[in-house]
Amino acid sequence: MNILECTDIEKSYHQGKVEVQALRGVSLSIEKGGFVALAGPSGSGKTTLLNIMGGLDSADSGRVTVDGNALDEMNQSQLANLRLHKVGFVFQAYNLIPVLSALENVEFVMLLQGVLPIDRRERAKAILDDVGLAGTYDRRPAELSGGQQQRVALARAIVSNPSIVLADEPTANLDSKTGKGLLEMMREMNEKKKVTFIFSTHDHMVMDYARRLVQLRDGQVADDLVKEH
Amino acid sequence: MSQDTDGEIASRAFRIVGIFRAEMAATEKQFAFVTITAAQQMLKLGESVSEVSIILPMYEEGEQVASALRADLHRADYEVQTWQELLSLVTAILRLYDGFIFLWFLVVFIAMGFGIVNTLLMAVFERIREFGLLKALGMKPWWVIKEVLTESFFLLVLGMVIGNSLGFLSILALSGNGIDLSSLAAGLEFVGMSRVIYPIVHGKDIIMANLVVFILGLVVSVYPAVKAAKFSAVEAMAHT
Ligand SMILES: Nc1ncnc2c1ncn2[C@@H]1O[C@H](COP(=O)(O)OP(=O)(O)OP(=O)(O)O)[C@@H](O)[C@H]1O
Ligand SMILES: [Mg+2]
Repeated sequence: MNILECTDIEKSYHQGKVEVQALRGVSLSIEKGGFVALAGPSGSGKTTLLNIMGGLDSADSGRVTVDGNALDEMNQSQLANLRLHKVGFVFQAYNLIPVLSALENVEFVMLLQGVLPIDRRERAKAILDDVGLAGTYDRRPAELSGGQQQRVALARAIVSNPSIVLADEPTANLDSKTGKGLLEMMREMNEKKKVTFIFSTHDHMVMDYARRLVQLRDGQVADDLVKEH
Repeated sequence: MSQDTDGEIASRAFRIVGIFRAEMAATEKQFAFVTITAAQQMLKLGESVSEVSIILPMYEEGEQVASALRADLHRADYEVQTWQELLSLVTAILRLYDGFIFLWFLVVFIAMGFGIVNTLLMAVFERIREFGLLKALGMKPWWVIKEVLTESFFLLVLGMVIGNSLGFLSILALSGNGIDLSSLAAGLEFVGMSRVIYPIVHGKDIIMANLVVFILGLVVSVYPAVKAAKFSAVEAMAHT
């Protein structure tokens, strides 16, 4: 069963009079429970594709369905709702709200969802423990290392059991050891909680962790490889 | 020397037993006080008086008291007039002055409106990345609007607390000695104003001013709030 379906996605940007074709007809099906890397050189369209998959940006043509919902038929408010309940994001940097503690950052999504305060505190603590951040509940993002910040972001992305987590170069700002730690954590969450992950990277070490590797080049899928483990 | 009730010249000499000091020299020049019986004799008034002046505690009460008196004294030979009717020049000047105050308030409130919009827009643009993140996480545009308006609400309440305190403090400080306008006294006498004026606080004015500030503040905050809600998450997150 496919949790995410992209069909003939096209997207171009206008910079003044110049038109940049970021995606030229991308079709991709992501199976439930997948652990998929989107690789490709800089400018190949990874970020653009992830943004469109999560309903942050809209495609010029083509269709995206997340868990059976066609994104092109939804308005801003419905898209927000979809992101709130079905999609988790981990960005390359600036993932966290600076004035909130680690625990509050993780709780925030559940606050938007209307989860009761006691439940949300409990679940946020449990997930922070899972990603190895038991002692840092009350620290602000500025008081956390880069790796710890990304783990908080990961915790926040999965705490509400989304159908899919989209991570745009989650390890790009981390040293390789810390990056590995985060990937181990992601894979553990993928295996334990059956959360589907799609993450972009141009780092070979990161690609090695993926069970499926999709190569983008010039806005098109150049290679799609399912690895045997 | 004056004219009596028969239209004849009436005069008599009085011995000055004292002088009085009034707020204004004009008042001192205008009035000499004699006993009522002496005046009645000199002007051949018998037991009558020509005029009764009533000083009321509040100047706004004039009209109300006058109409009550008119109702009670419905005999045609009494005439009841308020000070506004008797001093129409002063009344006109006061009305003009009220107009100026209104304009002044208008200018101040418009300036305040721009001030609030500016402050909030800056506060919003400063956190454009955070707003982008909130939207990416699934915060609906309407929530963002509510968020910014709530912030503006707290700013307004804080501002009103500080502003009212400062206002009361300055009134308190000035109400002891009043505001001395002696240097302008000659000009002010013309309109019958005293040399020292004292600030008074009316409950109605406080409530009105605060209400206007509050409502105007919230209304103008809608613009930055909508602006914040309209950032697309991608644009906002790309912003550095
Ligand atoms: N907001 C934008 N305005 C104009 N052009 C853009 C915009 N965003 C992306 N592009 C262009 O679209 C193409 C794809 O960009 P995208 O960011 O998706 O690539 P990427 O694979 O994520 O690259 P990187 O590895 O550097 O993050 C690039 O040529 C880029 O210049
Ligand atoms: Mg990118």
